[in-house]
Amino acid sequence: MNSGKRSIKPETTDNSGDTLYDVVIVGAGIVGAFLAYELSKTCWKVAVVEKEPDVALGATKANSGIIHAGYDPEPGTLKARLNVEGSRLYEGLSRELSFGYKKTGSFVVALTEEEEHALTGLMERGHKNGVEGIELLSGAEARSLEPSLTKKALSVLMAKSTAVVDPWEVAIAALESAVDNGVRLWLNTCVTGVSSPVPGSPEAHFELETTQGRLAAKVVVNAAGVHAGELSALLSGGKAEFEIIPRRGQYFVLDKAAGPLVKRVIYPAPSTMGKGVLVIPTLHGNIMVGPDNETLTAEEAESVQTTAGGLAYVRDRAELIIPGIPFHLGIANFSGIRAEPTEKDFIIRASESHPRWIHAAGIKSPGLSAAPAIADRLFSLIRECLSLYSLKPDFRPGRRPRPVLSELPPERRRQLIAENPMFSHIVCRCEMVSEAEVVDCIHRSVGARTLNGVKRRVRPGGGRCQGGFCAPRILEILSRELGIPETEVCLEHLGSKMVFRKGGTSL
Amino acid sequence: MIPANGIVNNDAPLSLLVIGAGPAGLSAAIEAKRSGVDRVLVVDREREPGGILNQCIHAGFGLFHFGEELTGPEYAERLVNAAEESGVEIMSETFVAEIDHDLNAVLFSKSLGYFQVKAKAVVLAMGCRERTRAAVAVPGTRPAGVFSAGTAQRLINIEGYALGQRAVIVGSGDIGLIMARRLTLEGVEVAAVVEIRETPSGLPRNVSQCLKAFSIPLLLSHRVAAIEGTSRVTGVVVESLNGGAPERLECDLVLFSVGLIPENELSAMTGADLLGGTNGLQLTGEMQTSVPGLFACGNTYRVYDLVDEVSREAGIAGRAAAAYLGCQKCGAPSGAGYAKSGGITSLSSETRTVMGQDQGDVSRFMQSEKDPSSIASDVVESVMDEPLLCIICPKGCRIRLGSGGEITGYNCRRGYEFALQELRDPSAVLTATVAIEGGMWPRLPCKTTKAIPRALLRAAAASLSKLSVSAPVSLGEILARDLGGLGVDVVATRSMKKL
Repeated sequence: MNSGKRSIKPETTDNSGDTLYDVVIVGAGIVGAFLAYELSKTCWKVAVVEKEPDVALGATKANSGIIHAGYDPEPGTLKARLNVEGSRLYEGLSRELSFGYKKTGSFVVALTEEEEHALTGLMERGHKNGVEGIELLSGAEARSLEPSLTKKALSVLMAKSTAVVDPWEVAIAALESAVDNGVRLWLNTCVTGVSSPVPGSPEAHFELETTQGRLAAKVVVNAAGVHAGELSALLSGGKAEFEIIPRRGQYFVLDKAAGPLVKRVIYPAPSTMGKGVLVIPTLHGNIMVGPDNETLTAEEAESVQTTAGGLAYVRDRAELIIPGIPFHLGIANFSGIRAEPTEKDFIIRASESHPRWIHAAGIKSPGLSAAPAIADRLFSLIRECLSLYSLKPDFRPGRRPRPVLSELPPERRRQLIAENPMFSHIVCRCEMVSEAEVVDCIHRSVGARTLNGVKRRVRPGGGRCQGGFCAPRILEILSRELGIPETEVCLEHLGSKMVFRKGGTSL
Repeated sequence: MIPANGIVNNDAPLSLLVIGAGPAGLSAAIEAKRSGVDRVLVVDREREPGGILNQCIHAGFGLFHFGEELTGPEYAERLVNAAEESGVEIMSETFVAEIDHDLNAVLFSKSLGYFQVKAKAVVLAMGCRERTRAAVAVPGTRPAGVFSAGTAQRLINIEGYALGQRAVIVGSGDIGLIMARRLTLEGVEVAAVVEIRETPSGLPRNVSQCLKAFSIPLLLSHRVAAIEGTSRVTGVVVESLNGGAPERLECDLVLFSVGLIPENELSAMTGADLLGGTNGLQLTGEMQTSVPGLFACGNTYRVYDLVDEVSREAGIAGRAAAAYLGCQKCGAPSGAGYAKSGGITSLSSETRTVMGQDQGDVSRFMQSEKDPSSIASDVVESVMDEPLLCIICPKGCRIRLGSGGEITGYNCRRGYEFALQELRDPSAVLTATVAIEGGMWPRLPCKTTKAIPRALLRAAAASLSKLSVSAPVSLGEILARDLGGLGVDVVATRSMKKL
């Protein structure tokens, strides 16, 4: 390493040493994940720091999970360009990184003449943005394809390229491959201070004060999601270049029994408040309904609770486009926080304070769709900062195969069980998840450490019983595989312990 | 038996496959076997047979099916023993992955791996699952410390964990009421049971013996407006449906007891007709589904209040399956006797009529009793204020004490005896767990051999929690003598082998 001022502790030690990285990405959400994957193809030394105990716990965990076609953003904006570019990359990435991707197509539904005009507008935007496979249908044509659609639908904009993913799975897959290719991931690491080098001094570097010690970086990427404004303020001495306004959206998840309700993502006609309340067929055959759109204060940036009012609003709005949604089949409610910037477009540029500090901020919808293209753009910006650039000769794309028992044909199931008897032990009956899959997801390079971490990776607890039967088993497996007592196993965040020793319940 | 290669030869099909080794599956299998079916296999995904009864360590089971009051594990062990004695094969840690209309099943088993079974008849007995928080759409955060009541019951009673120090229970279903008492006996403070309806949804006897007996507040016509806390739950906001300011209850544990849903995912694979609203099954009187050779019983058919009734109807399913298979020994029930036959039609009906009413000669019995007027006057007054709910059986008779001291409102001698006991010395059998070394689980369920004064239940439970025993232990084995000088012994309510 080239810093003569401080000793760099070897990577294999704990998180306490100072280490100089070429690039430090702050935030292990979808943007940080795709960027880490791109950077792992180079010889640069790269770290991702994440304040939470798992990756993808911010906006990436809780959003609509849709790869939008790209007819919605205003032509000429970064949003428009990166959405269309990004959504085209997803299918290939899904094969390369082995994550689920399902092209469902979508409808935007007009209920009034005014909304019909809006559809025409969307259609034009789509053409300007370069979106293919969009057409206008009459209400009757649309209903023949989606019989649950309201009879009040006058016309519908159909987009064939709309797709669904599990956003957290995408981020986990990308980071897993990145880590396998040498990127260092620091979890439970919150950046608390920044000292920036004098601009124009190419040898100097940023020093990041974190809750796990100090890090040094030549380039810092601010992918801190809803906290990107605060992070930018740390750089520029308290004055943020932009603000991020947290906006909360609440959702229902319905049992797979409700799955046949719709085949496509159903949007209402757009309003000034965004894309509105959607009805979404998920990757795994559930139905998701949401979100509302509630502006929070900066202090509420982590307020991911649901509210009676928010959920009622979602129900009412969704009923307008798909009447008779079986809400009694609800298996979960959740809310997510979106990072709404004070600027209209994505903020993807070098900081005004320092050219080697790069913002990837305000990545609200269509952020998930655009993320692979955002990563490409960030890569170009980083390349401008770092003089030396070479590709890693031993880079291995993708990640270790991950058999999903429930999705395999009988012969493969039989074979897997013969090879590894742990595949025969079904720990989650709702989603048919075997012990082997749970154990595997714990031992991967971005492995699960918590019950929810296991749920996001292999789905036990994501089904209709919501962990009622499997939670005790997952607790046991996590404890055994991590070599920690059950009483140390957490649900999600630090301190979210599940069980206590009998007679010792003090928290 | 199933060949070692794990592939069952379709030329020699199994007679009857029973899916689920809970009370329904075991009861059906026993009756089928006793009716002459040559080979009956019960498969279950858990580590041991018995189903949810294994975690229901409290008493209140078996009064009708076995003619005596048992705890859940005792009831389960009797059924397992009866099944084994009658020649039923039980295979644990075996998961039915698929089953089709022609009753071809694919199973994953710890011992046999992947294998297929073609049975001539199948009894579905998968039980039910708990409705979750989302089914009642309780808003708020999603922190640790929020469980369904049954999951909590398992974690506490079988796996031996503590889950918190102050609990709020959402919904007044039976499991929630039972858990309110259980938590109290474990030293957890139960801040409230919150029920959105005007009346509790659990059995009256559970409201009485689980809540009232421990002065646990039951908030009727109230709902939980929010769950709070980021990492661990810190409290809930409760509001009355009749207005008034919301109230925050601090707690570090929230249990949901908001109903049960029959598990019919496998049934759906066979194409059997389901009942839309409840997810139950459409059955004929002989416990048959719409698929030929496919029978169902227990909570997978419909959610029952009483396991005795599950066993009775599961027996009908077993005998019907036997008849379908051409076995002629299908006459009267051959299982353990009911107190009297034909006493009841449905225990889950609104009226909850009691099975096998054992009236005895009540008038003569009453004459032999002491004059009720000798009962202390303060007790008499309190009983006159509110009728006493008999908890001996699920019927829930309301017993009153007249101005002249006469006891009325009971329907059997047991009710009368209960009333006298309650008036003189309120007491109950303590059910709890003790630590066990070297067994399949870290806790062993147990009970006192006799009722102890209700006021001493908590102290007795606390002293029991310090007790530790070693496997093997057999059912009924005395674990402690003369608990706390109360003159009662503590006995194991299940067997546990040494591993």
